[in-house]
Amino acid sequence: MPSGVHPAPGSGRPGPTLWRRLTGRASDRPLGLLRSASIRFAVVYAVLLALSGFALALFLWYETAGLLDRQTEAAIRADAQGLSERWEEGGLPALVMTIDDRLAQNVDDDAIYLLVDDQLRRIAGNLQRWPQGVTVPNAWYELPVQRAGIRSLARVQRFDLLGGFHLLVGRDVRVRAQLRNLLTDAMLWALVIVVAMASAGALVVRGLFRRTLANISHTSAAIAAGDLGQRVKLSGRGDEFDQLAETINDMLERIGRLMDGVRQVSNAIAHDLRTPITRARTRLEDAALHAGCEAELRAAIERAIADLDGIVAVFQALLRIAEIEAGSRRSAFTTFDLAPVLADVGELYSAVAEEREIEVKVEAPPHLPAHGDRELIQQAVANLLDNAVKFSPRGGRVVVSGATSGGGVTVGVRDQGPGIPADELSRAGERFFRGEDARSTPGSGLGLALVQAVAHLHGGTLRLDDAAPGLAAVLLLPQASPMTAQSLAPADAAT
Amino acid sequence: MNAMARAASLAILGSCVALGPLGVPVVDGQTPVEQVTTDTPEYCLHLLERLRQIEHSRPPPQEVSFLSDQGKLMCDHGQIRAGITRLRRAMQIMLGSTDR
Repeated sequence: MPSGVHPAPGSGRPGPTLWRRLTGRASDRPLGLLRSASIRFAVVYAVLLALSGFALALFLWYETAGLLDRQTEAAIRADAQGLSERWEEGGLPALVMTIDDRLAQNVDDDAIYLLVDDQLRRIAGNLQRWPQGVTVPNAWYELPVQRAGIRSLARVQRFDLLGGFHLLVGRDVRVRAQLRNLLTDAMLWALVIVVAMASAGALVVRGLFRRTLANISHTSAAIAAGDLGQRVKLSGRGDEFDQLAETINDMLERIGRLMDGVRQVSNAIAHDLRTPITRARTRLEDAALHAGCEAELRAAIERAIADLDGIVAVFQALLRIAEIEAGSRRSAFTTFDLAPVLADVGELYSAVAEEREIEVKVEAPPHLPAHGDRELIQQAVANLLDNAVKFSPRGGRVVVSGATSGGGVTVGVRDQGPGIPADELSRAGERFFRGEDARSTPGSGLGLALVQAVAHLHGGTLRLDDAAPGLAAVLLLPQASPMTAQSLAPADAAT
Repeated sequence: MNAMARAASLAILGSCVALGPLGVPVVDGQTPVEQVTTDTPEYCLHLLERLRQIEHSRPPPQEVSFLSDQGKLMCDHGQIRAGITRLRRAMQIMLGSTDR
C-alpha cells in the first residue's frame, strides 16, 4: 500500500464493540445477534432471495447483452474467414479488392477493416492508421473510433498474414454497447430492488417468527408461573405453527388432567383415611380412659389394629395401581390360558357367595389364549367379581364370562345389584370414587381403579354398562397373536 | 449459519468474477481515437467513381441510377453519411446483379 493511502475512517472491519455485538465474540464466546433464531431465519431468507435475484439477473444479462456480444464476435469471425479465403486464392490484390467491395456494400455502415504492411503502412480499409494498442494477434479489443465526427466504439480482432501483413477486422458496436449498458443498468437496479425487497422480507419473516414464538413463549411463561389454564393461540391457518400449538395444547391438557388426578387423589386420601384413623384414635383413647380390665384394653387395641390394617391395605392398593400405571410389569407379559384363571377366581368367590345364597357361574370356552400379566389379570377379574358379589342381593346371580372376539379377549362380570347411575359410570374408574348408593358398603373405592389400570397396561379397556338390573363390567384385552393360539392348541389336545 | 454465509459470499464473488469477462474483452484506456475514413466526401467520390466503372460494363437498373443520383446530390449538399448509404445500396444492387 502506498504510504499516502490510508483506509477511510470506519472502513474495513467493524470496531470491536460492533464486531462483538454481531458475532458475540469477546474471545471465543459464540453468537450474539446471530443467537436470535428469528434473525438467523431472516438473514437466511434475505441471502437466499438476493442470491436468487442475482442468479436471475446474471442469466438475463447473459441471454441479452451477452448474446449481442457473441453475435458481433461471430460476424467478425465469419468476415475474417471470408477474407482469409480470398487472401489464399488471390493474394494481396484479391484481399484489397474484397475489402474495398465489402466497405462499398456496407449499408449498415458498421464495418471496420484495415490492412497494413510490415511497416504498418495502410494498404486498404477504412481506418487512417493502425491502432497503437492492438498488438496481440487473434485477441479481442474494444477500440474508440470517430465516425463523421461522432465518437463511437468498435470491437476488433487482429490477424497476422504471411509476408508481414496485418489485418484488422471489426464492427462498430456503439449501438450495441448502449443497449448493453442500458441492460446492465436495468439489471443493477433490479438487483438493488431485490436486495431492498429481501431486506424488507427478512424483517417481515423475523416479525412473523417472533410473533409466533412470542405466543408460545408467553403461554409457557404463564404456565411456568402456575396458570395452567393458558393455551397457545391458534392462527386458524392450519400450518406447521398451528400443528405445533395444537401439540403443545394437547400436552398441556394432559398435564392438566394429570395434575387434577393428583389433586383429586391427594384430597381423596386425606378425606377417606381421616375416618379410619380418627376411629382408631378414638377407640384407643376410649380404651385408655374407660377400659375396666386388660381384656377390654386388648380388644380395643385389636380393633384399632384392624382399622390400621385397612389403611395399610389402601396404601398397598394405591402403590399397586401406581406400579401398574408405571408400566414396569410389562416385562412380565407372557402367553397363558385365561380359562383356568376365570375358573379359579369363580371358585374362590363361590364360597363367599354361597353364604349369601348368591350363585357364581363361569361361562368360558375350554381354552382362552391371552397375552399379558397373568397375576394382574387374575387380580382384575377378582376385583370385578368381588364388587359383583358385594353388591348382589341375596339369592342373586353373578355371571363371569370369557370369550374371544375380533377385538381381542373379553372378560365380562355381570351382577344383579343396584348398578351404577349413568351419570356416575364415567367416573367409576377413578381412585376413591364411590357412588352414592355404595357409601354404606365396605370398600375403599380403589377396586375399579386397579382394573382400569390393568386394562390400560395391556392396551385394553374397561367398559361399564347398565345390565338392567345390575352392572355389566367388560374387560377387553388385546387379541393374542395367532402363534399364541396355535401354541395352546396342542396343550388342549393333550388335556 | 457461518458456513452458509461463507457459501453465499463465495457465490456472489464468483458471479462477479464470471460477469467481468462477459462485458468488455480488452480495453486499453490509453488508446487514441482512430478516424474512420469511409464517412468523408472523398469516399463519396470514390464510391461514385466505382459505380461509374461498373456501369460502363453493363447498363444500370433504374433503381441504381436513382440511388446513385440521390447519393451524389446528398454528398454535394454535405449530407455525407446519407449519401454514402444510398451509394452503397446502389453498389450492392450492381455487384449483386453482376454476381448473378
